[in-house]
Amino acid sequence: MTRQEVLRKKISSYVRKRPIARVALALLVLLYMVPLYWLVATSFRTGQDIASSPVAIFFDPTVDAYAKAFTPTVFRSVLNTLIISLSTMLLVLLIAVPAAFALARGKSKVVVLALAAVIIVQIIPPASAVIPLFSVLSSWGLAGSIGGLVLADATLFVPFAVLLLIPFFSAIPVEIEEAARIDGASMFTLLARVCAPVARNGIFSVAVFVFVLTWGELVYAISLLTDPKDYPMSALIANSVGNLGIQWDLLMALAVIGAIPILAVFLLAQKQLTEGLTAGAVK
Amino acid sequence: MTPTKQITTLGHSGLKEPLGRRAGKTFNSTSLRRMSYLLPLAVFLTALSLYPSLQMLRMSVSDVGIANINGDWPLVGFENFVAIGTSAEFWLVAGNTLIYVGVVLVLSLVVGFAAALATYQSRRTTRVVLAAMILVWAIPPVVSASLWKFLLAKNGAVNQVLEAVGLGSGDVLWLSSPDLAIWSVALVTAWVSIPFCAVVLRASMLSLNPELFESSELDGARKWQAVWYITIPMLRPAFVTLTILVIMYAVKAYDIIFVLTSGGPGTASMTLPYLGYQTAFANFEFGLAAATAVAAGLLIGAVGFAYIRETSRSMK
Repeated sequence: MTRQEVLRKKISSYVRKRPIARVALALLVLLYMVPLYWLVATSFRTGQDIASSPVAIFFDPTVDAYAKAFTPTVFRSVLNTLIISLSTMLLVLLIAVPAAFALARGKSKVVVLALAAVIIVQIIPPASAVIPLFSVLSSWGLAGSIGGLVLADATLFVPFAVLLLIPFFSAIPVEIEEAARIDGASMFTLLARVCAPVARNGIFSVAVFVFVLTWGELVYAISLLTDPKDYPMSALIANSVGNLGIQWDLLMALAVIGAIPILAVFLLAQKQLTEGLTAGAVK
Repeated sequence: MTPTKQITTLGHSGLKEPLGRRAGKTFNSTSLRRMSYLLPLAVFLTALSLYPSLQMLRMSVSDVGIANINGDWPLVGFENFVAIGTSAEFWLVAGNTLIYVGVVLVLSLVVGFAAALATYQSRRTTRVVLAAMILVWAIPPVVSASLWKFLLAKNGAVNQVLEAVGLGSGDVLWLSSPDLAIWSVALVTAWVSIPFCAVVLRASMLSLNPELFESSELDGARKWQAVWYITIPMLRPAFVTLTILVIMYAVKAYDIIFVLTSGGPGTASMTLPYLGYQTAFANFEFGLAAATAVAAGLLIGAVGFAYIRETSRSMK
């Protein structure tokens, strides 16, 4: 056994022998799996059913709520969310990939400045940044438009994407780049044909990340869009909470509809997401 | 074969060998050309981050309302800052922000660590639990918040469960009590943030160097001591990074508060950025809102400073 395996066995046997770990696991199940179950379960119940007994493990399932939920407004909203998320993802990649490529190698003052700027920018809360953004975008004639929203969402995720991508570009062996340069590759070819393909796992992770995060973005969506017809699912659900209030079945159904695409992406890209989650933090 | 390390620290990706004993940056045309790929980022951030930030500073010292948002902004000096500085509401919300961030941070790290330990082995049960947790983190915050709005309602699931196990009379006003609201909102935010910490800590644990444990075993340390006195200190970098990231996350949080309580009752569950947003988009007082945001930003700036130092230190 390798040392790593020996260590893991030690920690595992420690964890396994102590009942506290079992209890902790049970608590986690209670804390995370039960609420998720309730989310889905409630969406399959009728309003009266829920009112009479909010907590129920067994119930008569019905798709009433979903029938009520699948209105043209909701369809349109799902489409909006898809457009906004994909556009933002593409825009972010277009900006962040070259930037990470440039910053991956180099210790010049420019690099340090760029990194500092990219980090500082992430500190501003969207709820604060939207105050001047609204004014700036409207002065450019983009207020209320989806294009304006995509630009705003991109500002949220570009710095984050750059920071996440840099390690992937730094990890490319210098010899590969040198070989390409010897063969006469231009800088653009170096990026497009050599580095990007080698870093494609990282790029894919970041792309999925940005897509998932944009899908759920709320602040910019409700602030920068003026026509509710353009609302993505997050804004639609947020608005509905006030109106629906007691219609829990419908709200849960909407929430599930809003979450399904993420579930799909999640199932397809689970490995990449976990990689992406740890790439930035574990150095 | 040219030593890889040397080339990287000398900071260029071209073929040109440094002449003599150059130990600094080599500004040849190759590295400049590579730097030029920063241009889209530079343009984008200047137009959509720097410029709006400057606008916000300008707004904070001007009188800006809905009438003149697209017109001229008359300067009013520090009037806005004095107004918010003397308002009890601002300081109340500032205190709330502290409570909120504190609760989210402590729970995220502590429960996150516990979860990392509990799911350390890769068995079917732990994988499923981890997947559920990550799913919670990935779904839109409005979805999580809507779910908890349902569960924390007066006759909702949580109250029912508490009543069933005898811990109360089943009518706790989680979301509508001015005293409880901020705590409830913080708990839900922590719920969403814990999975992230759990995954990061678990990954860190899996990458620990076994050699440390070997020497401690020679000293006769018992297993639990190994875990507590060695594992946790070894995870320090992860804890530090997570602390900064979670604080930033908590400060930025809006969606969850909006759905659960809309910051209410009144401003009982608002954080500073939320207050700024409210001032702008509900009261249409953009100048005051900008001042609130700037004031909040100064407080947050301190944390950001720490993040920069940490990140730049580990990137060297």
